[in-house]
Amino acid sequence: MDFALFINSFSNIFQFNVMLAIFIGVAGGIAIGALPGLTGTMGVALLVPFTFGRPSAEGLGMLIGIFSGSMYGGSISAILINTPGTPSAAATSLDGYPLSKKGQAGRALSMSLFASFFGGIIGVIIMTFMSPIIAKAALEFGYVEYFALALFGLSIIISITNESMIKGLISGIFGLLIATIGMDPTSGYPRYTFGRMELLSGPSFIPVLIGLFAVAEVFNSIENLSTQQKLDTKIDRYLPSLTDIKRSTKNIIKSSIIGTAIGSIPGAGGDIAAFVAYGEAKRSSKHPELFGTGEIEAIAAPEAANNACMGGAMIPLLSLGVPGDAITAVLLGAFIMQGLQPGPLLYQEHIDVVYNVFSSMFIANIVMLILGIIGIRFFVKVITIKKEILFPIIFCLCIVGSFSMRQNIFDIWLSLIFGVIGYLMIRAKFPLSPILLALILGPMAESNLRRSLTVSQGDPSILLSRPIAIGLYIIALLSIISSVIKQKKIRKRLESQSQEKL
Amino acid sequence: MKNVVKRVMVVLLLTVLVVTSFSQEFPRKPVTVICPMAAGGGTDAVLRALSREAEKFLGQSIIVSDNPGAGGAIGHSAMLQSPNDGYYVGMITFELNSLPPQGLVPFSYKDFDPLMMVNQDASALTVKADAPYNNIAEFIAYAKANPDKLTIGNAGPGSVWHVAAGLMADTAGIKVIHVPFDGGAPAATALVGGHVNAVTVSVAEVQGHVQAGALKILGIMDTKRNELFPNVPTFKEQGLDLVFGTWRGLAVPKGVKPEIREKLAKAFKSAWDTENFTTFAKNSSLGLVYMNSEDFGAFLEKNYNEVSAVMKKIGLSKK
Amino acid sequence: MKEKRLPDIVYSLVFMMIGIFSFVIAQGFPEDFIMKLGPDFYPELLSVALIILSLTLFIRTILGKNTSKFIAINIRDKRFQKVIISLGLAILYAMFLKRVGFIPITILFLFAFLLLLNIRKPLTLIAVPIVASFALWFVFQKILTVSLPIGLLSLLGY
Repeated sequence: MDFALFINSFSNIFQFNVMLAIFIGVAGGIAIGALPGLTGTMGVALLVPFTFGRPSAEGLGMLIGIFSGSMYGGSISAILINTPGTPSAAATSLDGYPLSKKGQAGRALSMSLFASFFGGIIGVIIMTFMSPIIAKAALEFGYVEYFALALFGLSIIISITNESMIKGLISGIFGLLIATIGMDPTSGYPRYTFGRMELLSGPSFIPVLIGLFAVAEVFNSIENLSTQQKLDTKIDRYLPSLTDIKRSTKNIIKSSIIGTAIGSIPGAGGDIAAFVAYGEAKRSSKHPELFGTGEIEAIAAPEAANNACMGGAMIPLLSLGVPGDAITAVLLGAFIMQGLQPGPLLYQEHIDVVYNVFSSMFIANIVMLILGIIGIRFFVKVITIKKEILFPIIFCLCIVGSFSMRQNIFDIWLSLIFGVIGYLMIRAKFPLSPILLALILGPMAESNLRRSLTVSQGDPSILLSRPIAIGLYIIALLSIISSVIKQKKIRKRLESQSQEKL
Repeated sequence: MKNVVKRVMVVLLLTVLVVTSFSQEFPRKPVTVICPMAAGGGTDAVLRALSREAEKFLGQSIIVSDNPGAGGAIGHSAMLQSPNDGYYVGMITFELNSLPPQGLVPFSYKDFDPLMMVNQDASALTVKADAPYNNIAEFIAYAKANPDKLTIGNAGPGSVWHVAAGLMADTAGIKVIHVPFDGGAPAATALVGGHVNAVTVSVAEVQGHVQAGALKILGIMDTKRNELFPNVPTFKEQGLDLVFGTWRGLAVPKGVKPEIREKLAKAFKSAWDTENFTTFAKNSSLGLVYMNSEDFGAFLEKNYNEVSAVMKKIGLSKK
Repeated sequence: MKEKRLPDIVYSLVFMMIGIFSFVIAQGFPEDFIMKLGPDFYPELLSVALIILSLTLFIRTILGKNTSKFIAINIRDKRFQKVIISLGLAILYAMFLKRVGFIPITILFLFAFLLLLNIRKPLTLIAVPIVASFALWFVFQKILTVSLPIGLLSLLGY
């Protein structure tokens, strides 16, 4: 680490053009993140024309700005209208929306912003100082480790399920089965597509997400419209309170480390990181039974994790030349265009560029914080709209959002079907987030399981042949056991409480 | 109610005015290019470089969308599902001709209208730098001493690098295990991490790791040596008569208007000719081969028949 | 007590059916001659797991060990009927979006939806649909360059 060069890189960023590019990127990212159906990748595409023929610092700064902005932006709609703007914000809606229903949208939004900011900064710090070590660790991830990671991710189903564990498991397996729709990831054979071309590449994730969360919630709210108590439409606050910050600090730090670690594994991104952080926050909480009803820590954890993820995702990109997701792939392209090949040589030959990336990420997070603080007072206005008027508009937004991903009517049907499924499952107390988790992790679990078994020629003992994988299984097992024990305790406590009342 | 109808009519008229005033010639909005392989691989790299240049000639930005999986089957089917309005272009690759013989995918090259061929790349046998074999003969000897032990990573079942490895194993008479990944880049990364013993992907996809000293190339399935690695002999020089590689080109789903096709082809050909692109290709050891729409179409048919025959020979096609 | 059990019995049976259905279909997937495990292996594994789990839920419910609560669906409930009607409106919306075009159908959809939710103020009924659909159209079509269906407007010379 050459500190003189690193400090010097900030002077490259503190230029009007570069700052403007970062600013536009963050603002655009927040807007695109907040709109359901539009992801950071699309934002990159829309804003790339602004970088035409510009020097690399500007182009990279804007891309990095979009990345951080969209991670925060997704939580805005997740909290206000239960519609995760991006998959990474799905975990945030679990407690964010209940808080907003309690009239504490400002509290939730400001905590999300605060956690996003600190998550992002911690991610960048870890990345700046530990890239080479983490890159080496990421290389250790082979098919067996990926399978173990997927299993570990799926084990969170147990800890995020509140009511009946068996219903959580049924939801999860059902989600895994839905994830097998489409072309088999290893052989290309179309499974359960019933001849529909649109299903060949699987049910698209965004419409399913919109359906399960937003559409189902609209149905649910229509039903409860008259019985709903009047919301306190006064905006509670624009900055997180000290008590909230104190309560969440531990979770923010822990989740940022989780987020950076998961982000550094190519192919695992903000959505997985957010759920893992949520699960861990709930597992280690003194009041896990309150998760899902509007816990402030349950917003801090996933939001810190998904923004920290960005620092993590940069590690394999810069030091191995392997992009972990769509946005880092665009960044890779931007590097190549500048005549820079990310990979082991980049650190040796172009360390100045690497430092530029580090400092742009610092700045982008600060810009995000400033824009967020200004923006929250406008965002929260959404919940002051009369529910009878808001719900029809949300419904329209859901439909347009599903459509816009692939400009396909079929995706509207998909989100309506999943809206009905979601509504029916909410009614019967089947949790919905396991389905989402399964959709995210299902393909990873399957293709790596089959890859492993191909190498071992059918011998399942290969799954236990690698230390990292065994470590992940053990963590998964421990987290399942500890949450099962905790849930039993809580149930007993609740039972004894209700008996006392009698 | 009458009032509403009136208002709706006014709105309708206004919309027409707005819409018509905005309509211009193709392209009015960004064009999406679909890549059937993972980001960071050879296909993605060449496509991104070409698109970046083509933006200037098209006058619109170009979005590269990666749809990896199932050895390219998912990406190629995504191209066919896209609207055929010219705003969706796909990069078709060798796999378009090697997937149908396996009898698993419901499409073939006949569902596309080719625009142009962009490049051709040979397969290269690459191993870890500290592996106990330094040339093809030693590799084969090692494989014969350890049958069904060596793992060779490829870009997906039925992908070009899978067929290349299969062809090599068949020609040399060795038994290996083929491990499919979602593209050349993940396969190369797995090799660096030591999760497979070798890969048969293109030089472009391992170049960075080779230059960094993590990997070494044992041989190239080309007629001539690679410019960037002149010390690496071809397979033929090492006594194994193998010339095999991929091709990549641009195509649109059937039904795009001819004048739009022409516009796209012209923009991408101009991009292909730019110095930026050729320098990029040289630095990343990508082989450039251009064919126009007509020649490319004829090539596709010929290549399809050849590939089917090879796959039948090495036991990869449907029985 | 009996009525309370019924929903979970129905749900567990439905999930069991889904498991059996997907298992049967997976039997028809071709064998993979390149890889040892074909496309059927993993879905079959999941189907069996789903069948076992829903069977467990079924048995637990019958035995009265299932303590989870259920919000009963009452078809005669006015509020539930509203949900059904809103779903119907959405289905009509999706069906006619392409033919009618985004702006006119969105205005109609919002108008009908607002009526359904007991909005009776004429100004709201007219202004909200028009403003909202133009705003959505502007954001998605103009700023984000998504091609929304033009529909009927194409007759007017677009």
